[in-house]
Amino acid sequence: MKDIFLAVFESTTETLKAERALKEAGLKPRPVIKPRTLGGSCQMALKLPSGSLTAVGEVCAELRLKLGGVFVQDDAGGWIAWSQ
Amino acid sequence: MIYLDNAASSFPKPRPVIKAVTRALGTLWGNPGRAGHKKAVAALRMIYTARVALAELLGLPDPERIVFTKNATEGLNIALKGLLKPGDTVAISRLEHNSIIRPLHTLKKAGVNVIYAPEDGDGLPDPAKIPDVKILAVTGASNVTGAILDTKAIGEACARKGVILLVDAAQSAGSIPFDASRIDILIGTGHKALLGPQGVGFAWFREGVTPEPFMEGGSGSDSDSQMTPAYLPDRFEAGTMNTPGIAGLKAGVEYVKNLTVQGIREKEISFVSMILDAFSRERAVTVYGSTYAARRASLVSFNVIGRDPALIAEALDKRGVALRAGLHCSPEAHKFAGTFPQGALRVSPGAMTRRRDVETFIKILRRIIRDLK
Repeated sequence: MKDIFLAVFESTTETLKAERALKEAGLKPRPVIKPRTLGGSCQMALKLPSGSLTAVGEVCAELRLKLGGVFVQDDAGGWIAWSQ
Repeated sequence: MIYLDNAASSFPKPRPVIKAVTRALGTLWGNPGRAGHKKAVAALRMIYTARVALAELLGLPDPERIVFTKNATEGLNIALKGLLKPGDTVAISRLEHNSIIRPLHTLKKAGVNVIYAPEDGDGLPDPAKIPDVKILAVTGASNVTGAILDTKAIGEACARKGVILLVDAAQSAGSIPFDASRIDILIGTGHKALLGPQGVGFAWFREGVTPEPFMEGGSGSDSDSQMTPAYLPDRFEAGTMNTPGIAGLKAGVEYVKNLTVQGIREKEISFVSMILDAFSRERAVTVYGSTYAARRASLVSFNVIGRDPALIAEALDKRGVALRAGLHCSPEAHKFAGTFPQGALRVSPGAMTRRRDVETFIKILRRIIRDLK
């Protein structure tokens, strides 16, 4: 697996809300174009540093952000759901 | 020109508002929410920060539940037509604008019951007598009499009875501090006291209050579904947004935030006091609404006894003073004030009004009245 993680949210507004909250929590998320294989719910995803994934889950739960999932890129370039 | 028609639309716009609109046209040309490229994200980010700024100014939780509309009227239509079903009852006050009266007139034909809430002396709902209805839809401040709603008392009374409180803040958001903690639906416009451009307004819905949309289409989200998204703001923002307008509104909100709503309120009260004081010494002038400036929004409706208000407005216009005459789209409020069908003149200073504008207006009006004798 590659060290690339994406968090997807319900909507673009929710994505930016998450970005803001995660930045305030000291993390460094970056909005990117969401791969189509991750669904058509929203055009964007947040690219995340791998070391921050636990914190992401905590921040999203605390702020009731509608996190659709976190995905990690496999060696073939596809995306699989990430779990701790 | 001396512009004293801020209750219709504020002028002049602060320079940062003009700059923000211009800058948006030049730089924020990506379609917000429709792509993930930098320009689309930049536009989307600006819109998101506009929601946050507006929510902070008005004391609203959940900025994502602020929906940008083209005006307050659209927001009121979303709320009323999206929530009221045949058999439901909605209560209003006698001071409502046609933006509430007309959608309800249509809904009445579809089987919605529309009643007047028992009123206090100012024509606004009496908090002690909130009727058992689904929604109480009421103005935050009358655009005719200037009467101001006590949102805290009304909100608490509605909450006790399980009534959804809808406040039309077209005349109050940005110029009158109010408690939004018990409001369920807040509707406003950007181009009045929030000092933004025309063509942008907003509607905020408390969590749990989600109307059916009456306009549907592309939202940039859930694109693989024929269903309109259930979540806000996407549910009510079908079609491309007014990005330059929202950029201007955001700048207006920030401008108001710097001046503070309380600071604007104090300035406007002082202008209304000057006007009321001058009118109290003019036998030919009749004022409608409270004679206490602190109990009015920043407007004074009046008539010159025995004269058509339109002719007085025309005489003022010829001398470089802009204000509004007529029914102000609120015929029921004029019936309450006793000025239907002829209407009244309305002078409305704003946050950008200068003291000398008010002084000159008073002098010119006095001269016109003297010449009429």
